[in-house]
Amino acid sequence: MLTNFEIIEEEKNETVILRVNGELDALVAPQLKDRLIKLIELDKKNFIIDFEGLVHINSLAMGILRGRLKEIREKNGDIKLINLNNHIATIFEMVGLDEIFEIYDSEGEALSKF
Amino acid sequence: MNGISLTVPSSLRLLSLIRSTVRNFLEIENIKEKFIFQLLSVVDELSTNAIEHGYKYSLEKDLLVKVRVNIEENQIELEVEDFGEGIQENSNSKEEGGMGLHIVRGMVDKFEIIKKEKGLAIKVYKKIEEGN
Repeated sequence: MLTNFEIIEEEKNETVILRVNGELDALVAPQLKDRLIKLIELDKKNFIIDFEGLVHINSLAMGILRGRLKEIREKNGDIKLINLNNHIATIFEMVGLDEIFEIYDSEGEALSKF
Repeated sequence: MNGISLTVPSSLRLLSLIRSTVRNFLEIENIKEKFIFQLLSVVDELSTNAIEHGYKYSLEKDLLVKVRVNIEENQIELEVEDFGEGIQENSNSKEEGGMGLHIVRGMVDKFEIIKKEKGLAIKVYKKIEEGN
């Protein structure tokens, strides 16, 4: 059985928007890591990750996001998160990631903060 | 007491099977969706830890992860067991940084680590309400 998961990529105003859909578990988390690493290699530094279609997240994926955030901020870029459901927002709060990431309710709001 | 028991080979590919089986059982038992999401995070983190720390991602055929879920009155007992080196409470993977067990502890009412001769079992208890 394969995990139901996909990443849809879009670019607006020099910001890469990654829409992460489905279940982000330890099996597929490396896909998100690889995608971010490739985009960073292409000199992309502004990211919005849209969790509207995300129903599950594993701590490994959160660790990956935390690691890439550090790297991107060192390049004066940022990863902003949008559309976290209540469950995922609670998990981010539990581990303090809500204080590390900028989290917004909409794409437009996040785009305006770059 | 109503319950299920699921034993699967140690593989990240089977995490989705574990989650979907646990989800189906909890839905049949009419558990509130809020609790289902929390318990799916719990079983996913514990199973991932068993595969990562108990078995070091080895894909040998005889390495098993056993998951048990029981509902008794207004409480769910969920246990994930491995038969390997076990989960070290303070061990961290490179990027994950120990967040997994922290999340589990935050989502349950009681958390027990049972050290066995071979492997570890982590058993958690969570009070729940039925219905949506």
